[in-house]
Amino acid sequence: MWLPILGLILGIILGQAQILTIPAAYAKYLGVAVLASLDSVFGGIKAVMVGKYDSDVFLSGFFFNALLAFTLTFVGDRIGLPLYYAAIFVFGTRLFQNLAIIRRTLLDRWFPPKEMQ
Amino acid sequence: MLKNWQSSLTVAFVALGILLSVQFHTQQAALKELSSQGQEDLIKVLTAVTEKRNDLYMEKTKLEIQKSALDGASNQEQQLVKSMENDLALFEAFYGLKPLKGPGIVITVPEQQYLFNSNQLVDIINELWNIGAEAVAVNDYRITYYTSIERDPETWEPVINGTRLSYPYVITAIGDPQKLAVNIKIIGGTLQLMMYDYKMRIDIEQKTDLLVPIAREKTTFRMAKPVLNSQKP
Repeated sequence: MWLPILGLILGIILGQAQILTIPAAYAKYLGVAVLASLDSVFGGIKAVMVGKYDSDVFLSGFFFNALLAFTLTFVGDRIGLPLYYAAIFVFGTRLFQNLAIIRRTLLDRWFPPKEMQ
Repeated sequence: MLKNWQSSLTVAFVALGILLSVQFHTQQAALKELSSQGQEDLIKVLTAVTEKRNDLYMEKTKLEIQKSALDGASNQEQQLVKSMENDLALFEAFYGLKPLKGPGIVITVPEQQYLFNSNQLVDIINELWNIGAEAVAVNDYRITYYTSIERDPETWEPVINGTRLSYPYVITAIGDPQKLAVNIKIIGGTLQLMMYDYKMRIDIEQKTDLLVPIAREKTTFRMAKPVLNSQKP
């Protein structure tokens, strides 16, 4: 798991170097896209832990969800409907679900449940 | 060999890191923009800016008042300096420290003639002062309050400031040329007496541009001191 963490650090450093700049007006859209990406990442970690990981599904979901969240928010702003609420709700809920599964899996791994008598 | 999930997860984490970092910068920039701030924040900003504007306006008014006061003082100072310069120029002209030019007359005694001596020269000069001459010179000697005119004990010729003059005697007087030329020949005057009674040849010319040189003697006060207004008894 150390390699993805190194990748995260590398990504943060690259971002600090401001290789990519987004106009301030798009801050909200990017924020929702970040939430979608977090959901995908935690979903990927969960899938690895439960042994159901598929890299194609993961990578496509990662980028597609981020793009979809960004687009939803953008379109919602244009039509006067806060569609990003839907993205926040869905990705937020899934984020917590995935985190809960990861937590439980780790707990089971570190502290195996005792057999019922 | 890297496991399949490690490589793809690493790619996603790199992208996530970039997104997080970029979002952080974007959000910081957005917070600085007025359009992204809440109503309360905008009211605070507006209040602060209004107070600042009022302070600056008061400061500007204060500075304008100071400036106008300084301008007034400066104008007064300039007027005082100008007045003092005028006074100085007048004193310098009066004491013969500056050359003077202007219209006037030239009285010439061209050659040695009977009875022309220092007394007649002094009379002519005094008459010129009396009829309105503003500056007088004799043979390039400026006549001032301190000029001494004597006669040579042997020849009776005029001696100015210790220097004996030689012919021709040229008396230059600055003033109204017409008035000077007419009045200097007044009946009973020195020139009238010399020209018509003694038949002396004396030329009088009106000129438009005469130059009277600076005085050769220096005026110095050794014992006398000016009395200031505040020292008057």
